[in-house]
Amino acid sequence: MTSAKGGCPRRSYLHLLATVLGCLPISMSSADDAPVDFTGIWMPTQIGPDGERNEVFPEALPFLPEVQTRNEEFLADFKHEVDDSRRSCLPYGMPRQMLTVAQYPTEIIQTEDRITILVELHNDVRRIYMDGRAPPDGLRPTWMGYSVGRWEGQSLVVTTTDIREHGLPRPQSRELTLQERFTLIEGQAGPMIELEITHEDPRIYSRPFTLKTYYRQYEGLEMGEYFCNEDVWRLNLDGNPSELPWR
Amino acid sequence: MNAPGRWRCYVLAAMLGPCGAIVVAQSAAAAVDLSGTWVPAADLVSGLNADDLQLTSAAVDALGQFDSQTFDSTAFCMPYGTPRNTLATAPHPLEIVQRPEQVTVIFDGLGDVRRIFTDGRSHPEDLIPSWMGYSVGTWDGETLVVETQAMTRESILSDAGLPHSDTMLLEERWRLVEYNDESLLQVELSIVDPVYYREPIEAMRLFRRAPHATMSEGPGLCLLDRWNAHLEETNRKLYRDAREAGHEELSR
Repeated sequence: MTSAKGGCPRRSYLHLLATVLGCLPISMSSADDAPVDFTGIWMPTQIGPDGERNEVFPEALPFLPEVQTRNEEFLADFKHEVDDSRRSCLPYGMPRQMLTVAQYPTEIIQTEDRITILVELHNDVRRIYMDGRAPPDGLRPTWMGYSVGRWEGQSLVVTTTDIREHGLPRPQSRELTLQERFTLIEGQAGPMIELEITHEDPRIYSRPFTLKTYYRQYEGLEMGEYFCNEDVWRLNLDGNPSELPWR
Repeated sequence: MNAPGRWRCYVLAAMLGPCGAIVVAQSAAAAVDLSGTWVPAADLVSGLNADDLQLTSAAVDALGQFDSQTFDSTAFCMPYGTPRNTLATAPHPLEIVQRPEQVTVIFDGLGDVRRIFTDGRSHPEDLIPSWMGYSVGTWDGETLVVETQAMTRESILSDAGLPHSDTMLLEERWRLVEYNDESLLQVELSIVDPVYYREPIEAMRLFRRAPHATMSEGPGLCLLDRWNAHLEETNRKLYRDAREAGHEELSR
């Protein structure tokens, strides 16, 4: 060593200072400000908080009479094997993937000004903006729609508009507005989300109505990979090209 | 003071710094917020080129047999897989959602979503290979160090079909850098896969902030494009058939 008494160079003290300053935690989670943190992996369930079976569709939906007639005609000629959009690997779209009770988990990630929902089924991503914005004008309708949220007491209230119109499993028009209310509750199975979804679509329904479903947690539950087209990819690797024209 | 002496001081500083203890105690604490929407800065990086890599004979064989219409998952609206999703320089945005316990990277396009667990866990044993692999991250100062295992060999590293094995190991360093007066996200990738490469592959990617970029609805749009292409092809065939059948008004 050329300068045994020299002590440490100034840079290393600066380095130490920088390390200490750099260590101060930066708050990047909204959990500090939000009344509830929904972050976690959730599984839809048909069992309500009291242990009783929950009917997501307890009664017939209030279709306008002409919609009811045309829907019946449509369904009479409908083949689930080929006509259901899920066979095409297309997304379920809102609100279908929030109402399904198929056993695929959903991950909620709550951060500052944003809540992100990752749905394993069809690998869908929802973005809920919590910064007070309104939906921009002139949006192209999408499967997930455009979601803005706010807190009402302990509940998260999300309004979604600009959803693609489609006919399955229920007809919906571009005028559909969904209002979701997420509430964290304690059920027999532990923490649950009670999700109420109010539908308003004056071109389809005679009045607004609300459906209710639940999500629960399981120890060790993880998000898996759902790539719908993997079956066709694998068939092709085996030398059997798909005959499905859209896949 | 020579280099070893300096190092001793740095090590001392790191060990004595109260922060060192905090970082160890709370591996979840992040010093940097990477969250936001980013697009690849394709103009600042170079792609992976087979000529620059130390290929094994197995890699040469795999490249010789590569047929993108069969072996490229993206031709089937399937994901890129890790690390191709991160290496890709096409102008598709990616979005980072950061929490102390998990950094989530959502890629536009085909549904790639990487979850980087920063809650102090280690890799589980006997992982089943997956498209995204299993990523564990730790903060080294202001750098997120990510180690990924178990990426399926069905994914490839590049459009040209550079192969990799299930036993490939990936180490990445994600951090913010200043580059020509721009604040960029830098990802350095080190790929170790002796089955196909005699030397580790070192790559670097840069991303620009793109707060106004809109993330598209990935695999659904890809499939919809294929459906529309099918409809167009069907229409063309109907048109040809009708013309051949003598519908003269179609011949004009």
